[in-house]
Order: sequence, then C-alpha cells, then structure tokens
Amino acid sequence: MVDKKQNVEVRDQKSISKNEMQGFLRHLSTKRALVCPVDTGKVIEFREVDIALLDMNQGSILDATRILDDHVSYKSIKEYYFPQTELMFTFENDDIVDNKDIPGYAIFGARPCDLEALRVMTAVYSTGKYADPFFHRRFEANFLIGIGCKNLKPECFCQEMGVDKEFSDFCDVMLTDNGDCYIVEYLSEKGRSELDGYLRDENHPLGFVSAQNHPPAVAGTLFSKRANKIDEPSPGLRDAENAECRMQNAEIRGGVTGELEKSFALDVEKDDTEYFDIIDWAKVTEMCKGCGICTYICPTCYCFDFKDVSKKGTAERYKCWDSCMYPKFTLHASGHNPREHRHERYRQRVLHKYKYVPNNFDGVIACTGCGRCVRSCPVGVNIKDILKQIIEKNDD
Amino acid sequence: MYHDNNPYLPMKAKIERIIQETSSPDLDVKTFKMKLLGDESLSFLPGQFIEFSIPGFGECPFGFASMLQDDGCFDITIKRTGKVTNRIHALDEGANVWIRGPFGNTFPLEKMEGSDLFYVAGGIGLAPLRPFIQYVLSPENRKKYGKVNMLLAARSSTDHCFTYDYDTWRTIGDTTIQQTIDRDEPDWTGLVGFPHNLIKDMAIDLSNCYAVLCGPPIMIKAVQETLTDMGMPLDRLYTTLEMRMTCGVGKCAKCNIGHQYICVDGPVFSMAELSAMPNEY
Repeated sequence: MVDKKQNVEVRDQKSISKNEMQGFLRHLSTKRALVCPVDTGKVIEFREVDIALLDMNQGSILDATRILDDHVSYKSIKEYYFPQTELMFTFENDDIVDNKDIPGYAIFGARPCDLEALRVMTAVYSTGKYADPFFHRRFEANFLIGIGCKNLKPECFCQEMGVDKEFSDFCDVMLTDNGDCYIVEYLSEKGRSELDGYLRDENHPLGFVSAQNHPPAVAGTLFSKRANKIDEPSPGLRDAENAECRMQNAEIRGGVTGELEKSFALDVEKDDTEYFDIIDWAKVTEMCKGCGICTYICPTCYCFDFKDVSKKGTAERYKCWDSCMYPKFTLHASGHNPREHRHERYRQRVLHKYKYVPNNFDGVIACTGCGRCVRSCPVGVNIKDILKQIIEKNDD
Repeated sequence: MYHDNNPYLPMKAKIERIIQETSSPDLDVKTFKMKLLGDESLSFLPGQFIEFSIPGFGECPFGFASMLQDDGCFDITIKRTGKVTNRIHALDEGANVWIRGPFGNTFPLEKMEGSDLFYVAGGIGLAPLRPFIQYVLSPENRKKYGKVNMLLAARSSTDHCFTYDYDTWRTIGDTTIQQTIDRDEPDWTGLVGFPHNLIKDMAIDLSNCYAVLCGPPIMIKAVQETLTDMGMPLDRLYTTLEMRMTCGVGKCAKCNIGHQYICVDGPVFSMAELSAMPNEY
C-alpha cells in the first residue's frame, strides 16, 4: 500500500543557497506544520516549529535548527509516524468513531539512519494481510526532507549496517551539503510536485537558483549504496553512466565506494534456536537496569500496546509505545512469563532486530546503526559489542 | 468486513446466553454465546481466535470455543483472571460487546483426514479444541476421520468444561471420552492422575493418529514427551499456543516465539514446528 518506489527521473539537479533556508522552511510551513531539529539547550530534538517566531528572529534559523551542524537528534523522527500515544478511536453512544484526524507534518532534516529506519517500519506496518492504518495515514500526510551527514559521530555505526551516511532515497526530497548550498533531489512524486514549481522559479524573490546558475562542486547526482532493499535501485542518473560522478562523490565522502556491506547481519537461513544461546546473555547484560530507554529512542522499535481511557459515557482507545525490556510485555494472564529474566528480554531485543525482522521482511534489519541506544544507555550496554560477539561465535 | 480497512476497529456483538461452565467455588469459567450485530457475519475455522473488547477496560484474545451455529452465534469461553475478564464475567445476557477477528491460522483439517484423532485437553484447554471436535463429529465430516479419542483433564471434578457435550459426542460412532482429575474424590468414576501418566494405559492405537494437545504449558510438554516415547512423530502432534498479544495482526510484536508470531503464524503449531523454535513460551 505504501509505495515509495523511486520512479522519478532526476533530470536536473536543484540547489538551494544556504542563505535562503528560512524562506524554504517558510514555504514548507504553508501546507503543513513544520518539524525541524531544534536545539533545546540540552539536546537536539525534532520539534514543531512556529515559522512566525523564526521570522521575528531573522538570521538565527541556523542556530535554532542546527541544519548545518552534523548533530544526531536525541530522538528520531519516529514519533511523527508512530506517536508515543495516539488516539485510535472512541466508543461513543454505543457506536465507534475512528480517529481520522491525522495531522500532516513537513519534517525537515531527517538523517539517512532515520530515513532507513522508516523503511523498516514501513515494511513491518505495511506488509502482510493487514496494514497499520494510523502509520499509513501519517505516511501519506507527511512530507519528508532528508539531509545527509558529513561525518560519523561517536557511536554511529550506520556503515556497519549498510546505511550510507550521506544519502537515503526513503524520503520525498534529499538534501546534500555542498558548500554554500544544498543539492536537492526529488525522490518521490510528492517531492517533485510540491517543490518543483517553487525551485524552478529563477526569479523567486527568495533567490532560489537552479543548478545551472549555481553549479554544485560535484555535478551529477548522488547514489544509494545500500543493498538488499525492498525498493529497486533508483533509475536515471543514479546508475553506472555516472561512474565518474560516483568516484568524485566518493572522494569527497572519504573514499567509500561501491555497496556498503552489512557487517552486522546475522544468517537468516539458520534456525532461531542456533542464535538463542550463542552467547552468555546474562553476562553481557549484567549491568542492564531494564529501563527501556534503548527501545524508546530507537528509530526502528515499533512495539505497541493498546490502552483504554474512560471518560464520562465514552471510552477512548490509544495505541502506545511499549517496550520488550519490561517484564509485563509478555506476562500471561495465568502469571506465567516466557521472558521472566532481564537477559531474556534483552536477547529478544537483539534477535528481533537482527534475526526475526530479517526473517519476516526480506532481509530488512531493524537497526540502522544510529547509535542512540549506545549513547543513551545509562550503564553502557553496547549493542555493537554484543553483535560482534555473536558474529564471532557464529563464524567459529 | 473491517471499517475502512482498519483492523484495530472492533465490531459490535451481542451476548445471547451465558453458561456457567465450572462449579468449583470460584465459578471462574463461563461460556458466552454471542453473535455479531448488523449485517456482518463471521466466517472462521477451528483454531482461530478473536479479540474481545470492553470499552474502557481493554481487549483480550480468546479462541473460538465452537463452530458457527445455525443462528449465527458462536461460543467464547473465558476464565476470570484479570481486569478485562473480571468485567466480562460481570456482564449479563443481552449485553453488547465489541469483537474483532477472526485471526490466526487453523488446525490442519484436511491434512488430518483419514487419520484417527486423539485430543488431550487440560481444563479450559478444551475450549479451542471444541470447534475442531464439533467439526470432526459433524455428520458431513465424520466419515473423513478415523477413531476419535479424548482425554479430558481438570484439577477437580468441578473444573471440567463443556460436560453437557460429552453424552452427545459419545453417541457418535467410534468416539471415546475419558475424564481425569488430579486427585481422587468420593463418587468419582473417571480416571485419576495427570494425562501424561495415563496415556500409556489407555490402549489407544497411535499408529495412524494425530494428537491435538491444549492445556497448561507444563501439561503440553509432558504429554508430548510421553507420546514421543510411544513412537509418535513430532509432525503428528499439534497444539495451540497462547502468548500475551495486543493487535492480533502481526504488528505489535508482542506474541513472537523466535520469528514466528502466535497471532498470524499460529496459534496452531505442530510439535515439529515448535521444536525448531526457541523454548520461550
């Protein structure tokens, strides 16, 4: 149902001068609520931004949104597709009222790890006999603008997960930093139809310029290197005919060429049982407090629970984030709990991401190496180290 | 069937009749005979389940405890154990409730044709097997299957469910029913002891037989071991599992055992399938 196949041919590239980002954001905010990475003073976080407030403070947009800086937001864009709590429907007067009041956001500045995480979530929520209607409605309503990272930050391991830190095609529009401008690529029809007219207008008062007038340092286009996708590789310029561009791009990006290997992939051909006791889970999770922060800040963790709230004469049912790190997650009504111990719950988290989701969704791994769980863990449990141990054992 | 393709939206149903199943002091098992309201109708097969909602309290999964009846009703048998089931037990006949489904896979009815069947149930574990038994014993299907044997276990004589069915089932040819309880009681004429200890003495021909087990996990595992010792291959042993679940449609990621989800890949599994799954249920 959700089709983000990249059937848009990139005929010409656009670029946006960095001086004009405020106008660009204002344009985005005309149709939808604008969501940007914002510096809250403590963390960088995606927040709904009031463009009028930004306008009053002309020139400080870059401080406020950290567009230019290579920061990882504390949380991902997940909540704009799968909010922490979301009203599904209301039982009212012996009837039921579906909540179709789904807001659309223009989400600006999502990084490739988070875009690839959205691809994982789309596979889970939109594949099979049933689709999750709430995710789907938001997916349709939102407008998503990605932006590549220039540098890896501490604990980033996107490369090991086969994610190109500079590019993902799982968005409507992708921006790539190119000195004093961004290269703009349309990656969906929505991206083209909503921005093309705007960016084509060379006499635009805000001074957007076309690629011809403002040639990027590297001509041509960017390319996706992640293998084993649900979608076909993008057509058009993103293939061999632009080999020279690729080489140039790769040079700028630090010499990474060709397909990235997923060095943390487990073998989906093996039975789940072969991984179940492959390492001493109790030992590697000795310090784990079971706080669940790793699941909340994870861009691919998608588990949920339903919760009812009674109001006078009515009742509302909400879809809420849940966490496999909590004992009640699997507690049976009988009192029996298949995952009674913390290390069993942590094992579920790891194997779900790297074994079970790949088994069920065509090799898609439910981790994009954003590193948030590693950065946020209060006791330093490190999923990278645990994966390395599993893979070493597996190779024995 | 679903409003706007929203599988989380329940449909309204009416409780037509409530049957008190157990007579032990806590009276904790009841059967709710219900039907969908409006023009919609349910179509389901033995093994499948529904999600049952009480607005403001929540939603729980329950297996169908009967085939669809001529009047459009079906049975759901519920043990009182928590917030939602307490509320359900407090309902009166005529009450409106909300359900969604059917979900899950079914018992392999066609694959089992031509074979004998041996049902082993513990307590309310008979509930999800009952539509299967009804299906097999129905006049149009009875000839397709061989002998039908049942070993029905319960903690005490007052904890057996669906006792009103047994006489009817016994009158259908080639069907035997044995009841057992954990500890002997005065006037009890059935067997005494746990199922796995009794099976060897029951003199059942297991050579062309499928065994279908449902009950507490400990009973399922013990009975499986006994039947395996008696030479039954794992792919002739079936069970239906429970796990805590929310959505019922493979999205919420609660009910997995390894990469399989009880709600969409199950709840019915052969022991051969289960043996390739982590022991986490």
